[in-house]
Amino acid sequence: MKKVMSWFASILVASCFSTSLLANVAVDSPAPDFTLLDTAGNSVSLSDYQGKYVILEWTNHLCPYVQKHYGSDNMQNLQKKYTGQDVVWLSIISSAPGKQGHVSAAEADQLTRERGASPTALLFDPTGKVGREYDARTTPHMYVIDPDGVLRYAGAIDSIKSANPVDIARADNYLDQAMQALMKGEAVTTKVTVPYGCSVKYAG
Amino acid sequence: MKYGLGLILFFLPQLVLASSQASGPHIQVSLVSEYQALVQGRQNWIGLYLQPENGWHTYWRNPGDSGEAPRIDWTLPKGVEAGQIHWPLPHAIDVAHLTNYGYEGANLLLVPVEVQVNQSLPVTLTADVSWLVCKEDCIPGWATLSLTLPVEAQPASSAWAALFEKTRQQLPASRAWPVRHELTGGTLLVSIAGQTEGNWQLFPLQADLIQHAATQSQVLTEAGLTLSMPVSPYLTGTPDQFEFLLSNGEQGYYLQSQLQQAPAEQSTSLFAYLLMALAGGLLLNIMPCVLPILCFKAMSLQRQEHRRRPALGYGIGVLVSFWLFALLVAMLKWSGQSVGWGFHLQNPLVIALLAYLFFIIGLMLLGSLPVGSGLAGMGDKLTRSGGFTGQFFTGVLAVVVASPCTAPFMAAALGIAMVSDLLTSLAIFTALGLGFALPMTLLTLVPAFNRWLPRPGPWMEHFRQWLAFPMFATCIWLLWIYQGQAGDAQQALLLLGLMALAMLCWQTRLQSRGLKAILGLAAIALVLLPLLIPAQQASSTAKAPSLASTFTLARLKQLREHKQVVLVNMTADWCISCKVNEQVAFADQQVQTALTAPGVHYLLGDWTNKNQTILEYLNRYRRSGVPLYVVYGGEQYVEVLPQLLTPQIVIDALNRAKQEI
Repeated sequence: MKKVMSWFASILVASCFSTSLLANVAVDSPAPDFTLLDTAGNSVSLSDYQGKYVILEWTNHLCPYVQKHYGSDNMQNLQKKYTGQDVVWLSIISSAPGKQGHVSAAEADQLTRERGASPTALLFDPTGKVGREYDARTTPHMYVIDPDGVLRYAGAIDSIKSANPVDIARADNYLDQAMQALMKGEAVTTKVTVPYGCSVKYAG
Repeated sequence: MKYGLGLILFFLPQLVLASSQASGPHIQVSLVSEYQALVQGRQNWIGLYLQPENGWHTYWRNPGDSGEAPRIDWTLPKGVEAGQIHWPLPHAIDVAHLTNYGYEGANLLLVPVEVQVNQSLPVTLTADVSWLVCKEDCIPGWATLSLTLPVEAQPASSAWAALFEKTRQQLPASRAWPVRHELTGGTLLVSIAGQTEGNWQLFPLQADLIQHAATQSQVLTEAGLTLSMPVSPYLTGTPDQFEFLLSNGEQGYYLQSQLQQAPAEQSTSLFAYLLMALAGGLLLNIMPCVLPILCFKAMSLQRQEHRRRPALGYGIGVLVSFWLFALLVAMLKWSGQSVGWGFHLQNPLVIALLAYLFFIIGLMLLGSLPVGSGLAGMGDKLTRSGGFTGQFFTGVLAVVVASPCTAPFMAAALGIAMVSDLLTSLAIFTALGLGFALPMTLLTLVPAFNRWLPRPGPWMEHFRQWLAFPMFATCIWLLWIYQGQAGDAQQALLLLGLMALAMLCWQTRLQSRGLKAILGLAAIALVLLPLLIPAQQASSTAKAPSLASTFTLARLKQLREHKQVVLVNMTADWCISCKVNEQVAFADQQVQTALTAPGVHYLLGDWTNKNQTILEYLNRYRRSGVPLYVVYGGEQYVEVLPQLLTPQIVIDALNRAKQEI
């Protein structure tokens, strides 16, 4: 009887998972709208940027995998390259208060200055609501949304899962590939990849 | 002593560059050996010993939702080779709502090293090692470790030997157990033959297969242990195969799973049918009404020259006739189906008709049934004409003219065609026609074959009569199937019908017209009896459990017209989720009670051997396979149930259907 109960439970769990994780974000489906505060305390919504490409970057400055891409200027270069082409770049911190990567607005601005980063905005998601809705699992975890609000890429920044900056040059940059294809009017070939990095430090 | 000092000085630079140990934040890593020296030509075990601080962990080869597996890149002298890492059994480590696979506490990653070339000097093994150590936060580390070992024949154990031994004993072993998987609506079902229940967990080798954090549940079916878990949102398509580790925390096995597929259409059996049809066609040539014509034709050929084209004309004529016949059969079949006749072997009525057919064929072959043989004489005249057209119609007419003898064979082929699709029946008739046309065509092309032609004689009659017995054997097989479908009593009725058929043949020989008529009518009544009765009681079946009856479209239609609640279950022996549902949902006491309630009917369709009727039914619900569960409430209400059931889902659906009537 116990086995049978656990079977039902798992089917329920499975169906919950498939609705909460799979249904909310799916590549080639509309990306869910959200509203978060930026470092200046302004509300920023995804829907504010309708008609523009939007890149979402989940980040945590203390995560070695994030440091790999910031320490090598890889992330900053991508930010410059695309914000220079009128693409919106939103860096999102879903670290809960007290957890690794959680920073105040002032600290966040300082980090941006020090690292020479240039996101359109840096947003705080301390409850993890938006992160969970997008099923952001690791830092970094990248998403590309097209001008129609449709999610076109979700996954790792590149193809080599390591914290070693040496691997950046050898890897295929999935984010760059997806953006280049989209801006040429082509379909994205690699639409979903397994993200790699530190787990997002959610509350609970 | 001097020499020893020199050696130390010689190796000193390397020792300074890389030691066998390194420490990073919260972890110590070391390169260790089981023995104090390496042995040439044997497997030596070298290990990377990872010692994270208390509460910190390192990772397995598939790290799960985040993290990274340790990596070793070797730099080895010539003639020394290192193999892949042998990973100890991992544990699932939950971090918030994510799950990682790895090791909490010290773990030894084993690597087999072989020394092939004769080495007199000590060997230095250098490894560029990278790791990630995590608690909740993660810290990556890199180090170049090296270990220098002499090569000896009988080395002494090192201080690590006991740890090596213990780790080796707990390594997972590869097993070739039959494992099959199925992907059903976001759930991966993995069926492991022969495995029993236990605290088993599936650890996939690939990151994008399953949701690592989700609970895995198990169900024991007759096929073995079935594990079920939600698939990863990163999985695209259905993998044909994947490797995984099955572990209960103490024992582990590397297994490979293959996608469970419906057994492929048996091309071998079709091939066998075609060979049989070809042989049957050849046999037609030595039938009493064909062989004399063939011999006469052969003799005439020796006298006159023929060109190639007319020779082929005969064969084409024969083939076209056979094709026309096949098309006729197919049209009959279609028109039959459009009025709700299902020509498949699952239908007892079809089996009964086939039994009659084969019995009559047997009787005809035995010579008990009078058939006109006057037609045979016409063939003689027709085969004399020449030219392509002449030859073509010779072929056509040979088929028609020889029909008194060929009918039994044509009937057998017709029987097969009735239960197969158009392409199969066309292929069978083509083979039959080719066999029939072959001897004559060969004779025309190469008259020398005449020598091999058997001479007509009384043996032809005996051979034809002998052929009756395979027909009777087929009839017995059909009766056996019929018994399974319709029961003992019904089979007795069918046997009576067969006897009546024999009587029908015999009564034609009687003189008295009155007696003929009485016997004839009685016999016809007996023959029809088993055909009319099963329509009312087609419910019993050998396959289905007692509370289910066999699915037929007619039965479903009838029940819906009578405002009944019907649950249709389309299943197959090879379907994993079907078996799981039978175990979990249909074996449930409450479900059984609900299915036997008045006004509720449970129809079971068996797709194990595939058939057209069930395929059409599945297509109606845009499915091309099983499982399919549909609940009907009268003619209005239809609900398709999910592919994975719980007792509650079934009971609720039945209740909803009841309310809709």
